[in-house]
Amino acid sequence: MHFDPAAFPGTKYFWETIRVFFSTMPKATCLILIGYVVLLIVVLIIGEWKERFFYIGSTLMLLITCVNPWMAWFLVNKLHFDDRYFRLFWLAPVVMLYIHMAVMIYRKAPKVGRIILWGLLMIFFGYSLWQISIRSEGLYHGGSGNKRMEIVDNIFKVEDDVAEACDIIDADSDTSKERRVIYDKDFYMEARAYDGSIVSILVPYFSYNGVDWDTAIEGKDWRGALRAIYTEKVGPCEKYPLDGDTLKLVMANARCDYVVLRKTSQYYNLWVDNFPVLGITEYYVVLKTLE
Amino acid sequence: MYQYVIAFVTFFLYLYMYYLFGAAVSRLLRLKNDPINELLYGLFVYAFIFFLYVLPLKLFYIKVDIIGRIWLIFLFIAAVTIHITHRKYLAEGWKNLFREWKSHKLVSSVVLLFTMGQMTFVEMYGRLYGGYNQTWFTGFVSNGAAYNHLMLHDPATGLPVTMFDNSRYLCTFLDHSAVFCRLFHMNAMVEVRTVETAIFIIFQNIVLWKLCKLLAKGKMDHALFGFFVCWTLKNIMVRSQLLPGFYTYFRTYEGKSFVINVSVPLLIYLMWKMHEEPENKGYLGCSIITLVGSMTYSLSMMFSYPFLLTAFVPFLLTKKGQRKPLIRNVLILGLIGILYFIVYILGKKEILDLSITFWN
Repeated sequence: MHFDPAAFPGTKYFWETIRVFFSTMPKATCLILIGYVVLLIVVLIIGEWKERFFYIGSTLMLLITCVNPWMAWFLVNKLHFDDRYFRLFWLAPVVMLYIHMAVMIYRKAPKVGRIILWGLLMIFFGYSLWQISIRSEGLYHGGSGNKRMEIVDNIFKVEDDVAEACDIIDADSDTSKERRVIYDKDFYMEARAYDGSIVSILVPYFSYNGVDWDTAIEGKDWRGALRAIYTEKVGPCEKYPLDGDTLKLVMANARCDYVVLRKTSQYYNLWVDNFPVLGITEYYVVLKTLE
Repeated sequence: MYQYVIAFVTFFLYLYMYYLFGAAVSRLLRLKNDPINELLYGLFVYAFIFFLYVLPLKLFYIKVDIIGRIWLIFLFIAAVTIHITHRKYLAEGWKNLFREWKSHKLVSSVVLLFTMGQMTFVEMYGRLYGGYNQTWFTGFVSNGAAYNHLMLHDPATGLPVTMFDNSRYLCTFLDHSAVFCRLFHMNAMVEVRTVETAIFIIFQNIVLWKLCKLLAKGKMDHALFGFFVCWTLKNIMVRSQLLPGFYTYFRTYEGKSFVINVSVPLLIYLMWKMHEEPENKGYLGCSIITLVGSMTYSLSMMFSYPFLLTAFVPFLLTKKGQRKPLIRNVLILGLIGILYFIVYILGKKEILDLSITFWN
C-alpha cells in the first residue's frame, strides 16, 4: 500500500487504506462506488432472491472475511498482506452490478427509450475515453509521477535514446555476458527492461550516498568515488585532484565497463577527454571505460 | 522490422496453441464446441501444462535454450496430434463460430472492432514514464532471455540472487515469456508490452462479453449495451492505481492485471452458471482449469481466491434441492486453493528449500 503500515498500527491501517482510496480517486470514481452501494439497496428492495444473494451476499461476505479493520490487521500483520491488501477490495462485483441493472433497464425500456439510453451511454462513453486519453495526466500512481498516455517512440516502448545507448553498448560487447554500466535512475527504469544484461553498478541506490571524492579514494572505495563524480557531488577534492589520471585510476578499479553520461553533466569534458566515445544519442553519450 | 514480424508471429502462435489445447480439453470434458470458449480455457490449460513442465527444470537450473527447444518440439507434436485426432471436431467448431457470427454480424463486429481499437491504443500510447513496476516485472523476462537461466538474477538490479523468490517462482508465465524471447530473439519489452498485452486485452473482452451475454439472457443487443456500460465504468475508473481499471491500460501485462480482469470475472461467471446448472460438471471442470491456470500468473490469485470463493459460497448454497453438487464443487475448488497456499507456505517457512546452489 502507498504508506508505511508501521505508522498505522492495529485497526488504523484499514481506515488509512480507505482514506487513501477515496482521497486519490477522482470524483467520478467516488460517485461510481457510492452508486454501487445505492444499487445494492435497490437490489435488496426489488431484486430477485438470486440477485440479492449474489450481490448483497458476496459484498457482506467480503466485509466479514476481509474488508474490515480487524481482518485487515490480521492479514497485514500476521500474513504480511500489506502490499496486496487493497486488491481484496477488487473482488466486489461492482461493474457486474452496474451491467446487470443497466441491462434490466434496457430490457424494460420501449424502443424510443432504448435510443435515448444509447445516446446517454455514448455521451458517458465519450467522457470515459477522454478520461483515459487526455485526463490520465495526473492520475494517481503511488509514489512516482506519471504522465498521461503518450505516443510511444518505438515498439519497445522505451525512449529512443535509451534503446540507442543500449544498442551502442551491445555493438561493442558480448551480449551473452553481463555489462557493468553506470547510468542514472531515469535510464535505469527503461534499460533494465530493454536489456537485462546491462547492469547498473550503482544499484540499488542511484543518488549520492554522502561519500565524497577524497573520502572514497582514500578508502579505496572505487565505486563510491565513481558515484560521487557521476552524481556530481565530489566535494572539495583537496587530496585527490579531479583530473583525467585520477578518474582513469578510479574507473580501472571500479570495474565499470561503460558509462552512459548525460550531455548536461558538468564533468562532461573530463569524461569525454579521457575515455573513448562509442556513440552519442539525443541526451546521452556512451563511453567505454574498461577494455 | 524483425521485432514487428516476430511479435505478430508469436501473437498468432500463442493464440493458436491456446485454441488447440482448449479444443482438446473441450472435447474431453464434453463442453460446447465453441472456438472462443476453447481459446479462453485453452490459455489456462496451456499455462498449467507449461507450469508443470518448467518448474522442475527451473529449479534444476536448466538453460532457457534447452527448455525452449523441448517445449517447441512438444508444441509441434501436440499441434499435429490434435489436428489429426480432432480434425472433425475442429471443423465443426469453426462452422459453429461462423454460424454464430453470421447471425450476429453487427454486434460481433462492434465488439471485435472495440477490442482491436483498445489493443491499438495501448500499443501506440503505452508510454509509462517512471514505471518502476515495469522495470521490476519485465526484469524477470529480460534477465531470463539475457542470462539463459530463469529467475537466478534480481529483476531490478540484474545481480545474481541466492534464493528463488518465494512470491514469484510459481509465476511461470514470466518464464514462458523469457523462453520465447530467447528462442525467437525477441526483445522482452516486445513480448511483454506488445504480445502479452494484446492477448490480455482480448481475453479480458472475451470474459466481459460472456458476462454481458449472461446478464442479458442471450439477447445480443442488450449484451452490447451492457458491454459499453462496463467499459464506460472501467474507463472512468482508470485514474487511480488502486483500482483494477488502471491495470487495464497502464499495466496490462502484469499477472495481477490478468487475474483481476480475466480470471476473477470468469470465476464469478462460472459460479453463476454453476448455480443455474448444478449438475453440469462442465462448469466445475472450467472452474478448475481457470483456477489452476490462473495461479501461474500471479500470487494475487492465490491470496484473493479463498476470499472470492468464500464470498460466493452463500450464493451457491441458496440453490434449494441441489446443494450436494454445489457443496462438492465448492470443496474441490477450495481444496485446490488450499494446495497452492500450502506450497507457498512451505516456501515461506523454508521447509521447501528455495536456495540457489548454481553459483557454488
